[in-house]
Amino acid sequence: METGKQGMTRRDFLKRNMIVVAALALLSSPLKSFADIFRRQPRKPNVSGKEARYYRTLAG
Amino acid sequence: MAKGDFVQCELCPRECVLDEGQKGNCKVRANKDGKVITLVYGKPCAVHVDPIEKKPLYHFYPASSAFSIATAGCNLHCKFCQNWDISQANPEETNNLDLPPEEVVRKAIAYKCKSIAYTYSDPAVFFEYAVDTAKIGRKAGVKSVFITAGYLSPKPIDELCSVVDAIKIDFKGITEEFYNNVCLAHLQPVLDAMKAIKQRNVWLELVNLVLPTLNDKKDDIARLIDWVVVNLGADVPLHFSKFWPQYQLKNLPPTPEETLDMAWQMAKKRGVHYAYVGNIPAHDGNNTYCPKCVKLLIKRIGYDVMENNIVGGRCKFCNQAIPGIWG
Repeated sequence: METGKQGMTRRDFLKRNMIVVAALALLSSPLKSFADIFRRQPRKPNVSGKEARYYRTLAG
Repeated sequence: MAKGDFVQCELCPRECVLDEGQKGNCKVRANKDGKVITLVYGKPCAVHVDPIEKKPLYHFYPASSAFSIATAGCNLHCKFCQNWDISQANPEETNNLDLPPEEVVRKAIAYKCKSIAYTYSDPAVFFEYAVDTAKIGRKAGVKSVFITAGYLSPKPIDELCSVVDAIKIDFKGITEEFYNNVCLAHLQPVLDAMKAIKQRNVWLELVNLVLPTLNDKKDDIARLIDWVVVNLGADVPLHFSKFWPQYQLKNLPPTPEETLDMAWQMAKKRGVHYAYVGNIPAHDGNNTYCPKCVKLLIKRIGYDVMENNIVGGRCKFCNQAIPGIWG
């Protein structure tokens, strides 16, 4: 049924919004990098691996 | 030794059997490629300078400072632990410094500490780190004191006694039931450890943390005192300390002062020459008295030494020899 309202093609949508889309794409990359600087990195455990004394290997 | 071998740790009476990658009960020893490794060698999570009286050691260089270190982990799991946040932690969870043994000694000297104290959690579980540090410290003229529950096997105790200058043991209770239920351990290895240390002539002091309803029965305290006098002698200082509720025993009240007074008086009556009350500043039980002439030898308020009448290791009033390491 015709409504009198013209529909938008995908091409038209992209054309109209390309500037916004492009701007968002450009901004998101440095924003992400910026956020990464402040995001807390998981702490690497500071443990040793020195061989202990007083143990024995079990046979079998 | 190869990856896939089972190993058995022989440091403490638990004698944990470990599969590849598995950690022991203490959380700081593991099986890696068929060898037991210590996860905390040179990795303390607590470092502080304390008065020696805080350990508490009352007959060891009074008024001196102890460079105090601890790592994560413990081979007991006492429900009343005052340092549970590190003793019951995995070493991966604590903020650990890099402080190798030689650096510990350097810092102890820099901070003018007479001794290094291995303390807070339990140095039984960072045994290698403590022993290696003590050896270097001895060569540099720095003493070492080991503050422990005493849950170690005989051979490590023997090695320990050859490198440290004083040991303080938490003699937590006189019943197997108490050690089982409250500490998740056993009594006998601790009794054996105390006797072994006494035989090796290392300076020894004991602390009993008095816990309302758990180890404060008059009969139990009497038996504990008698065990000390008979097996270790009247000259081993015995401290009764006030408990402040925390960790898994917040339901208990703090130890009443009357209970500590009772224990202290009982100890003196039953032959302990040097009985003390701890965690109550300005209590008369903070002080050292001559067992012969009863004069005040060392007056303490909390950790501070206000007066010292021991000269050349003797009472300055009656010349009685006072056991201890006085400097």
